[in-house]
Amino acid sequence: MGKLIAIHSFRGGTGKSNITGNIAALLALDGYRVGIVDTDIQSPGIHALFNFSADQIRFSLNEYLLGQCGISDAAYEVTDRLPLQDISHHGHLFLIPASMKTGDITRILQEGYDVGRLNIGFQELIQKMKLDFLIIDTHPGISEETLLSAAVSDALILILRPDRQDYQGTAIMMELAKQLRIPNIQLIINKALNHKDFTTLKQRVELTYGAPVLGIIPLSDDVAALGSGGLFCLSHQQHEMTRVLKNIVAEFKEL
Amino acid sequence: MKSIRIIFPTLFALLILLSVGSVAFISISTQMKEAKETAGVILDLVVSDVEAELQNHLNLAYELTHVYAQEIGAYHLTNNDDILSPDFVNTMIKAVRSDSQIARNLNITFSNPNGQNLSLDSSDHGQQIVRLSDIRKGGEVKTFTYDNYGKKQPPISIDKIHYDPRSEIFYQRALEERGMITGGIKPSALAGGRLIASVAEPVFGHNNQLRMVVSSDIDLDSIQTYLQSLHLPEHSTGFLFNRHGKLLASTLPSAVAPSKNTSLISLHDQPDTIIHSAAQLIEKRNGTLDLTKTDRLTYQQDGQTLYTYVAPVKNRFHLGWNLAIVISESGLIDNLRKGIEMTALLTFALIIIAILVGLFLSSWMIKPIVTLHKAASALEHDQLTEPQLPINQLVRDSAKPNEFGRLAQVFIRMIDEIRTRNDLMQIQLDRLRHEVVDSETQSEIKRISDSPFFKDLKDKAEALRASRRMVISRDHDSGLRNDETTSEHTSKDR
Repeated sequence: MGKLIAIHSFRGGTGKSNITGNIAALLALDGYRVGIVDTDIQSPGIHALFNFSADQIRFSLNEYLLGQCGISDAAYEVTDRLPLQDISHHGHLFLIPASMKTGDITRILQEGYDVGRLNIGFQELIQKMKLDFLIIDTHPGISEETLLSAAVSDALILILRPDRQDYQGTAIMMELAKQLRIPNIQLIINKALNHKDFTTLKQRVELTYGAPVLGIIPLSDDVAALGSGGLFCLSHQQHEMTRVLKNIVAEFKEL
Repeated sequence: MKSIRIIFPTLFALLILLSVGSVAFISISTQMKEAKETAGVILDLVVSDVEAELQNHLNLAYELTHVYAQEIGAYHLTNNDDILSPDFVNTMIKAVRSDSQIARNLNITFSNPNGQNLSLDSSDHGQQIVRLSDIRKGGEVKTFTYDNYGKKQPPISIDKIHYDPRSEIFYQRALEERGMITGGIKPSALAGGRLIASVAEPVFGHNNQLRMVVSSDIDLDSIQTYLQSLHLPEHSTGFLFNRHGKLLASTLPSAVAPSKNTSLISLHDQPDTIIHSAAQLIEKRNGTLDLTKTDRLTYQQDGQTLYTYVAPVKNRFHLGWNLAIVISESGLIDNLRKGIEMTALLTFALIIIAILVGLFLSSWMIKPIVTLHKAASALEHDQLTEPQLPINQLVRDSAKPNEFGRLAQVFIRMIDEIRTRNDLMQIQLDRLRHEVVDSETQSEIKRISDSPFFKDLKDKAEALRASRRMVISRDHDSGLRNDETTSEHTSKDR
């Protein structure tokens, strides 16, 4: 049975979508069947990593949540975005994007959506696409839909930046997740500044939140330079960040 | 801010300048005063020595002549007082050789009415020689050394000059006076033309017949040599002159003083300005240069003070010779001036050394102070790491076995203490910040978790999980059934 993993952050701008896209790509390159659901309906963005434009999308997650299509109709295979010579024979990558149309976004925000239907959709995707991992790219912050999406996941990965606001927000998120009895909560620290203190930082964060740290990704100008124009792990295969991401992926397989 | 790099060398230099300068000033001013006061004393000392020596020089001739004349008077000579007989010559050689142990520059001459002449000379001018001549045999002068005479060896020289002592002035005057006389200054026929003044005394027999004339020469050349050997102060001069104002000898080089075969030069014609001016002054004060008493003069010439002592040289026969010594004050002061220059040079060298030592010392002393200053400044600004805090240099300085080393050690301990305190403070701050954040977080969590929204959310989450479990279970069962059906169909097919 495939695993449902939610990747979340308390604040926006933590690099959540970027990390999600890269982890998914690395898993697919390793031969896994992986799906990504962009539940950040308010500000969708992960499709950009796969050079996926609005006119390529017929149905999106929005249509599914509004009952206008099946979840499979909103799933697009993006395996061809990966370098074919590197990908394992069985590896597949699917993207369920959120709509980029302002009208669709507004409608969902106004009417809300049925998390139960989303939950069913997740399960259907895993089953129909025979997914090993279905990764949910959540909307940052504390909202009912997000918390419920996380609540049905097999694991919750919280991304945080090492600053005071994120520490505090993540602490709140962590405690609420525990109260919601979300299993297997793990942390990824992104945009860390001081390379020398990574071990200390990892120890302090794990001690503070009572949850393991999957990895610490250093702040990189190269990432900023790439923007969201592609998958970093593909364009910078020997980069420190790619190395850390690969380690995180290795841990992912054990979730 | 005045740097120690400047203060130290300046202080050292000033100290040396003050100490050496004050000592030099005191000693120089004292010596200058003493120099002026003692010029007269120095003059007295010099003059008394020179006078004594000159008197000895003159009196020796008198003494020798008289003593030998007395002895010859008692001496019986055979063969009509043949003074060239080997016995007599050898006896005289022995006597003169013996006497020359007591007195230098000794010469004695014996001349008899037969025109024989025997001259013995032990002066410093050459070897000890004996000259023999006999006008009856042509008057040539044979010269032997004391050692080779009478040993059947040829004379060392023969002068064919037809020497007849009886024609000499001293001989004739001695006969006229019938007693000891002094001849005038003239070139010596026997002694190579050197200027001499002869002292002579006749020796008579029992019948008042002249047996011989004994004489001894006063050699101006040897007096000149003696005067030139005097170590007078710089710009000082000594000179001997006769009553006629002729220069006899001086401390000046021989070109200025009279020499052999030259006539005596008048003091007024002397090119040397000191001799010239001194002579003028002496003559002006006394009306003559034939002095009868000692006199002291002090006068200015060319801006310098000259101290002059002039006195007649005392002798038995009133030769009318006078001695003058002129000492220049500048000669004495020049020595002092040289001393001052040397002192100044020494002071300058010491000051340079002091400045260099001061620079080295100040640099050596300042280096650790600069490090300490840098460290203190870094501590002031909470900079506890290199390069702002020169901890490595402090560690090196702390190894020095002196006060700076100990001070550096104290600084290092202080830095360690501050670092420890800072770390503790940081930990405490972190803890405090954490506690503040913790309390805010807990409060926020409580607010959310206690809200009806969250309680409802928990129920919904539980329901969704149950629903998912059910779906998963159903899918699992459905999957199993599908597998079984597939299996059955497969069996039936088989």
